[in-house]
Parts: sequence; C-alpha cells; structure tokens
Amino acid sequence: MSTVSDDLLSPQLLAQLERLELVTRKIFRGRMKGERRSKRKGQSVEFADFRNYVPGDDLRFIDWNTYARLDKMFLKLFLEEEDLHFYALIDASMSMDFGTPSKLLYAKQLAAALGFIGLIRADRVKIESVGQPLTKRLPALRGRASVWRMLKQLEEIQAGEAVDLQTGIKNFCLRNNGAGIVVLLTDLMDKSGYQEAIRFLLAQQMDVYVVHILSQEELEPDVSGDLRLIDCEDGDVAEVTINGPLMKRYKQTLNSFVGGAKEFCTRRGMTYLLANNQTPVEQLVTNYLRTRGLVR
Amino acid sequence: MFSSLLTWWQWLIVGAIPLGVLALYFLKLKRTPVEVPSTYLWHKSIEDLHVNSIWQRLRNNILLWLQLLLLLLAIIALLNPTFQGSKLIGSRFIFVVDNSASMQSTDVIVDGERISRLESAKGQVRALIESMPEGAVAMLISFADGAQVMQPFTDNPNDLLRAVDGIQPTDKPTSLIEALRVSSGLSNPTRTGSEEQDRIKASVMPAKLYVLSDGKFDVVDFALGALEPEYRKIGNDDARNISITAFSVDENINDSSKVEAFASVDNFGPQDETVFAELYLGNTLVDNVRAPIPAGRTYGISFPLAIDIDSGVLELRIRPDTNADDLRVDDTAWVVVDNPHRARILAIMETRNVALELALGTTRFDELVTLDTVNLEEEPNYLQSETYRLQALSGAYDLIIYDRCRPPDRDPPDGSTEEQQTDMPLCNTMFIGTAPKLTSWGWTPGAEWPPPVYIAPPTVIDSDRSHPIMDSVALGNFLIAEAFGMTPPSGGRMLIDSDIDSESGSSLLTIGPRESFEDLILSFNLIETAGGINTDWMNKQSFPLFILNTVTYLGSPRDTLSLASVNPGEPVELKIDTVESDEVVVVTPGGEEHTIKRTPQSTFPFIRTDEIGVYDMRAEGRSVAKFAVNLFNPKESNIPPNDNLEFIYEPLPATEVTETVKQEWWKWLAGLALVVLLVEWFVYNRRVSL
Repeated sequence: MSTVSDDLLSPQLLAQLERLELVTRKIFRGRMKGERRSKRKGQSVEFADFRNYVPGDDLRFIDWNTYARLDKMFLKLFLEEEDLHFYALIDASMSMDFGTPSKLLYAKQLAAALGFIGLIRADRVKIESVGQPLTKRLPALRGRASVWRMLKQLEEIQAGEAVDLQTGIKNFCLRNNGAGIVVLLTDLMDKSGYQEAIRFLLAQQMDVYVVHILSQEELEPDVSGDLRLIDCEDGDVAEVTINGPLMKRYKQTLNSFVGGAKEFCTRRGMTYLLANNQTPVEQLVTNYLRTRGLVR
Repeated sequence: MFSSLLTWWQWLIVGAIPLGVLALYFLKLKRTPVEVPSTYLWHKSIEDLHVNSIWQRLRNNILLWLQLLLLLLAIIALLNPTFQGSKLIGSRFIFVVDNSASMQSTDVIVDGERISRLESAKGQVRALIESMPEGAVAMLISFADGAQVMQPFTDNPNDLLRAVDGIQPTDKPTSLIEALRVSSGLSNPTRTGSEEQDRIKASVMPAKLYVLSDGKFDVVDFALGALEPEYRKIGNDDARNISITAFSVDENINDSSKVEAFASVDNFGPQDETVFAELYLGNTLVDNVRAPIPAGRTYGISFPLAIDIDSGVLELRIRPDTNADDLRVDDTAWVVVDNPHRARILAIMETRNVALELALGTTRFDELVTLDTVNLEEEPNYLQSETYRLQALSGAYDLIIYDRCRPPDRDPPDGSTEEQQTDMPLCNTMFIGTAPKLTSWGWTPGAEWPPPVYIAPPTVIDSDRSHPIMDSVALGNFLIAEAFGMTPPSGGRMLIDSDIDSESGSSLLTIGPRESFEDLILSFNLIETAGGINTDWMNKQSFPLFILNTVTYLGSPRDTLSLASVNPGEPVELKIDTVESDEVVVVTPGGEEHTIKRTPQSTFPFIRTDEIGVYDMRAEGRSVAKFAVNLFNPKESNIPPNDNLEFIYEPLPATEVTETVKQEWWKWLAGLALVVLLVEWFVYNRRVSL
C-alpha cells in the first residue's frame, strides 16, 4: 500500500473492519446476487410468502404439503438475497481542507473505512465527490479486489471544488438513481444552506447518513483579539473582536447550527452524526456508527 | 461653586476629549487577518452587533459609559469645585495684603500644620479671588512700610493668582497709608480746585477693599471715600513671641574703661517664659545668660565684655526654653562695634573769648570733639594763610566757628574791582556777631556788612524749639546790648526772633543751607573786642547747652561705640573717610551685591535695607564699613493681631472668617476618577478574557 493509502486505512483498522458489515434500515432492490435480502423474491433459504400457482411457474417451488391438505396449488416464495449500493459522497470544498487532520482527509478515511466494509461484503461501492461533474461517471466497485481502486479514487479527490452543496448533490442524484445507502461527508458550511441539498437525497428514497465533520478549530476556536476573519472559499470578511460574550454567542450559534442540522435530518428519517476531526476514525466507525446502525 | 483652573481655549481642548472617545468607538481597528474555513458561523454570531443604527452599537457598552464617567469626573475636578465660599458681590475689588515682618509669624494653624500669617493671608486672597463674580475686576497690593501694586486692575483671576504667589515676606515695619492712597486712586478721583466749579474730575468708582493684615500699624488718618473696607484679621490672639527690641554696645557708665553690651528682650506672649540668650562675636560664643521674663514684660540684659573690642560684629540670639516663639525674625540682633567718631572743630576768635572757650572746654566736649582754637591777636594773618586755606577747603574740619571775624573774600576775576563774596570753607560754619558776605543771605556788593547794628536792646520774642540746636534751650531772662537782625535765606530757619525792626530782618539766630552744608549766624557779639560784654547769656544755663547742641548738630560727632541700628527699609547714608574710591560695594546679608556711588557730599547712600542682618561695605578689596539692620520694632514684635483696623474716624472691626482655607473637592474627584478607571480596567479585562 502506498503511504496515502496507509493514511486512509491502517492495517489495524482493516482488521477491525473485517468483522463489520453495512446495514440499511430499508430494503432495496439490488442489481446482482449478493448477501442481502432484497425486495425481490428469489432463491434464498428464507421464506417470504405464498401465492397461487399459475401455469408456467417453476414446479420446484410448489408447496406440496399444502396441495395435499387443500387440494390447491400454492407456490412458495423465498426472499432474494442481493447486493447493496453504498455511496460515499465527499464534500471537497476549500473549507474541508482545514483542521489537523484536515476535515477532507478525515472524510476520506471514513469513506475508505466504510467502502472497505462494503467491498468485503460484496456490496457495490461508489466513491464520489460533491464537485464531480454530471457527465463524469465512475464505475461501481465490487469485491475485495477493488479496495485498491477505491483508495485510488479517494486519493484523486482534492480540496478546492467550487461547487455548492445543492448543485453537487443534485448532480449526484442525477448520476445515481439507484436506491442504497448514501453517506454524505460534509461540514455543511454552505452559505446558501444545506437543507435543499439534502432534500434531493430524500427524493431518491435513499438511506441517508449525514456525517457532519467539524474541526476542533471550529468547535473550540482558539483565537483572540481584534481579527479580520477571511472566508477561504469566497473571501468574505468578518471583522470580530473576540471576547467572552462573542465567544459565548459563537458557541450558541454553533450549537443551534448543529442542533438544527440534527433535527432537520432526524425529522426526515436521516441519520445525523457530528464528527470531530479529533475523534479517531476507528472509534467513529466501530463505536458511533455502530450505535447509529450504519454498521454492524 | 466652581473656579476654573483652565482658560477658555484649554476648556475647548478638554471638551473635545469626550467626543474623541466617542469617535474612537466608531473607528475601525487595525485587525489581524486570519483565514478561517468559513465565516458562516461568525457572521451569524455577530449579526446582532451589526445593526444599522450607530447608537445601537453603543447600546449597553459599559466600557464607554465608564470612560465617559471618568472624563466627567476629571472635568469636574478641573473645574475645581469648592464648598464653603459665597460669591463676592460687587464688580471692583482691591485686595491689600500685609507682608510686613509680623506677618512671618507662624501662629496660624491649618489642618494641624503651622503656617505663616502671610501664607494664610495669601490663601484667603486666593479664596476671595476664586469667589469673584464673572467679569469683576480686582487689584492686588502688598504693603509693608510702603505699598507695591502686585497686579493692577484685571478681570483675569489667573493673573491675580499668579500675583498672589509673587508676594514675598519682608522684614519691614507696617504702614497702611500708602496702600490706601494707591487703592483710592481710582475710587476717589481728586476734585477740581476752584470753589465755583467744584466738580469731580472722573466718575467715582466704588470698590470693595479687603485688608488682610494683623493690624500692627499706627492709626490710619485717611478718608476712605468710596472705598468700602473690610478687615480680615490674620493671626491668632494667643500668638507667642519673644523679641529683642534693643541691642547696643557702650562704655560702662561707671567705668569708662569697660565695655558692655545691652539688650532689652520683650515677652509679648500670654505666658511667662525663660529665655536663653547667647552673644557671639563673629562666630565665637562670647557669653550667654538665662533669664525669666514674665508675660508682657521687658527684661534688660547686659553682657560685660571682658575682651577688648575695637571693631567687629556682635550677634545676640535668643530663644525661649519652651521654644514657644511664633516670630523668629526678631530673635537675632546684630550690632556693629566701631570706634567713635569725634567731631573736629576749629574756633577762630578775633580776641580771646573766655566764655566760648569755657563752653567748648567741658568734659563732655572732650569726649565728643577735637578742638583747635586760633586767636587772631596772636596770628593776625591766619585767615589769609595757606594753612587755613588748605584746611578749610579740604574739609579737614566738621565745623568752623568764626567769632567776630569772617573768611576772606574770594579772589576777584582778573580786572574786576567789584567786591566779591566771602570764600566759604567746605564744612559747616557758625558766625558769632558777624555774617558771611553771601547773596543768599541778602548781601549785595557795596552794602554795609554785617548789617547795621540796631542800637536799642532787642528783646527775644520767640524761638524755634523744634530745631535740634534749640532743643531744651530755655531763652529769656538775658540781656543783649547790641544786635543786628537777619532774614533766613531760602530753605533756612529763624531760630530766635526778636523785636528788631530793621531792613535786614529781625532774626537773632538764623540757620541756612549752603550746598550740602549749613551756616549758623548769631547776630550779636558775646564779648566786645575792645573789652566788656555785649550780653549776659554766657552766665545763663542755656548758653553751654546751646553750644553743645550746635556742636552736636553741625559737627555730628558719634560718641557711642556701636553704630546706630537701621530699621529694615530705612535708607542709610554712611560717611566713610578711609575710602578714596568713588564706589563701594554693599554686600547684603543674603549675599547680593550692590554698587553705590559717592555723592557730592562725600557720603554713600544705600536704600535697599530690606533684610535684617549685617551689611558689609567693601571697597578696594577690603571691608571698609559695616552696618546692621535690625527689627527693633515693638509694634511688629507684639504679634497678637489687632481686633480693629484703627482708622482715625472710627475703628473697623475685623470680619470673622471661620474657614480660612476653602475645602477643595478636586482631590476627591480625581481619586474617584481613579477608582472608575480601575473598574473600567477590570471590566475591560473581564470582557476580553475568553
């Protein structure tokens, strides 16, 4: 593994991830035979339903016991096991490039970890960035062997995409109309608002996870004095004199921002998770995401 | 009430400071640029600070309010608010401050600290100036023996306050009259002389006159007119003072070979005191004595001087054992010991005059006078001799007595045959039975001189007893056979008037000035040259007394060992025979040097005797004379202040001023401002702390 890949997925983490799998609360139709239940009825060991026999049905699925008792032919239906679509959508705007480690790197690590779980469980994994053009389509990855390609894709995502969240997610939805799990890795720092953007995902009937990544500098700003704060994305300037009351007000604003996002997501059946870039990825995946039900 | 410490333009600057502080709150700070992921949350946080109205920005800004409060306190402090003090009523004030010696008494207690009366008076004047109404004018005069206008009429209190600071204590005695004259100049304009048009020349400008003094001066004979006086008594009635009121050195009365120093020490305080007196010669302690002095009494101290003092300076220092003395300036006295000055007298007699010789030959004369006599019977050409000429014209004698003779006439100019005036000697003269031929005395060329004798026995009508020559001389009861009458020249005086009715006048004894000298003319012979007497005055007691007075006055001998003490501020005129230079330098006790020039009368006048102490006159690199200035003034030393200002018409009682010094608030305000500053600093720090 290259150094970058090492950064994204450490061997220790891989060992932990081996035991995990992605979970969705919804049941989607897959594309191919996989390891998950599908809406589709098919050939698995798990019984699903009965239905009346119509000529042409496969005789192997007729329930002969019922025919003997009722003198009617019923067909036994089984659940089909299919694969799962897992999308990791990474916000790669300039604001994600802040923090130690940077929020983008953190997002990539998380995406890599989740994608790895997906790959080893025979799910279809797609890593995309918000700024990815509508026309550019990346292939879905499947199988353990694709870990390399996934990591390569992740490496290619660089900070500095100047696409707002709404447009980016809209493009994402247009490119990928299939149902599945989508994990949105973003800091939600979009001045035009994140609500409209997230609604697009809802419209896709996807199982949406919003991982809200904030750096320590944003959660607990370590600045003081008379400052001219410059927005790295649009060069916007905020002149502030940092003092006790302003700090208090900033925290209030941050809390209401985080709380607002959480409430927005929860009400719409999405899972919201606030991630501090100081929390190790392993802990986040094996602990927080597990309690949120994304992995098992 | 307020009395601003600043002028109007300074106030403008002070007034601009609060505006400046407000402006600072709107000024953009120089802020450090910091790049952040997003200003999204910050904008949201500072949203409510960015409201449109600038006043909203200042809303609840406690720092601003504290700063404005601080400035307000500072400004009020600058206004110098005071309590205890009412506005003066009027528009014209004259402040007259006493800075005489007695005002140096430190008997005024303010805040537990003893300050001098002058400081107290200055404090009161400052308070009065500060309570002057807007636009009022005031004038400041200080006075001791004379008056000095410290500040003419002005409406600027700052000028007046500066002038108050300029008043310095002096060692001089007190006289209010000149200060009153200066004060009344504008208030009481003089009137026109003529009775028909008795009109006031200028309009009367009434003024309030504040006299700040201890009232230690003579009754004031002065019509105040439009001046409205108010007497502020300065000083404490319980003031204590021990003072030297006299100090001299003289021969012992009983034994003229011994010398004694005498001093009288007064206790002007309310308590009995024991005084310790020390006598120094130069810096050497010569003697000391301890003496009890009851309250209000005088004590005479004499120090027999064992050592032989020809010249030098004796210094007497006294101090009460309790140290209870509020005036120090009169606790030290100096006396300059010098050899006595004997008058040199030349008596030129036509024939031997036993009466005159007897009168000039008493023991008292031996002490005072060095007498030379010339009998023209024995030396007929003496008056024409070169010896006489040199002595008369060099000023070798203090007095020349011409008995029935007179100096020769002046040499006539070449070719002139006209009769000339008498060639007078350069000293005082006395003529007996004759008169010098001087036009000032009424002589004209060709006239009979002395004037013709009035045959009828003249009678003495009157004598001028106020003149020193006639002091204690009781005339009358003596006869004169023949006499001529004289008229005093311009500036002269008739000392004995008679009933002689002649053209030349009626005076029998006349004194008149001649340049810097004086001539005394007795217009009758004592004895006749031919023998016999012209008067029996010589048999009377008054005759030797008259001769003694004449010699004392015209010969000016000095018999005491010590030079007379000079009062502060009094002019001194010293005759120094031992100096050839026309300039001497006087070194004051304070070390100042003043160069003075010799007058035509061969004296050195000196007027700047303001300080007490010993003045040294130096010439040609050595000390040629010394004189002492002492405050021998019981009026100044008797320091308990007078309750009334003694005007001749009615006494002016003192106005009670309970609060001598106004309580000023500015210190408290400044302290409060400091507290506000600390609170502001605390609040600021609390706000910037994270």
